[in-house]
Amino acid sequence: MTLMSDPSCSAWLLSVAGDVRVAIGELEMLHIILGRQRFYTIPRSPVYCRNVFLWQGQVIPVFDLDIFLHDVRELPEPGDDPERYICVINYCDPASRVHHGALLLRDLPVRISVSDEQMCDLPDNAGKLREISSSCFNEPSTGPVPVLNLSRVFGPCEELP
Amino acid sequence: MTAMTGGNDTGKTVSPARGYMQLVIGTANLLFPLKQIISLESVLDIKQDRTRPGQIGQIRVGDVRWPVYNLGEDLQFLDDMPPARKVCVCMGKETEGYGIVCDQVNNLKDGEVKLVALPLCMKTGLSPIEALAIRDKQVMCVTDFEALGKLFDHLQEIC
Repeated sequence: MTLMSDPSCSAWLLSVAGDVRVAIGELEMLHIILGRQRFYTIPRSPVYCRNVFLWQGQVIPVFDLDIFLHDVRELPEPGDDPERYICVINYCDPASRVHHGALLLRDLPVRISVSDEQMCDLPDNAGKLREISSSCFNEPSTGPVPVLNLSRVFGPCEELP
Repeated sequence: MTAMTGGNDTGKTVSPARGYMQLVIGTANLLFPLKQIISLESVLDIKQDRTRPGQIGQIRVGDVRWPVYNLGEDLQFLDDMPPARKVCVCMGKETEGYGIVCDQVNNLKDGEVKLVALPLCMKTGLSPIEALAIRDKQVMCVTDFEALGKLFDHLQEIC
């Protein structure tokens, strides 16, 4: 998502955890899935990216930003986990190869228009969002919104064993 | 089938293994190269022995006794063996090996599974999962005797 080169561009505002909102580029969103999918849990994977599911014949890793940002160490019991939306995204790795992944959302994404004038610094309390964001803009309704760098989100895991 | 590598994946090449043994452990499905499987034994043949951390018993393979482990769905050691565990899969190389108890096993041919890369974001330091496999719209985890053995060594150190 290159906000700086266009006077304004479209983006998706994602509700990922409580009152946490992030953004991705318009073309990074592929599909929204409502309802539960069959998840396969991969042993010894990070607690925030523990599951995959099959979509159009591909294995899609599911990244739970709520767990990642709040440093949760154990998964909730299946019955305690509220039903969420699955957002299938695509992104390019540093070698420009296209990959797919999925983010869990609390609510349906909202399409917004973002201009250069809205660009701002990440807030001081950005915490772990700083590791996975490439920029930030000020959205009138929500305040600062980090823009996710999806190749970092789905990049090498730094979690200790 | 060509060897599988991936894009935003671990970068490790996993070659087809000329067949796999699928071990069902609860909801986890692990695939091991068939050539590493030595024998299948009944859990009734396991002799109780908990001298080694994580070990639930020993099983005789030829003239030697190998340790047997009971794993949970996150590949952690479990002390109590659920009633569903029926089979002890003995795997190894030459004189070194171990047994894993599981609910059931299936013999899979190369052509029955499609190997895909483990996403980079899912690979932790001691993960023994080397790739994923798709079979009949189901996702399974590919590992092997040595990779799982390294995890066991680590778990035994911290026990």
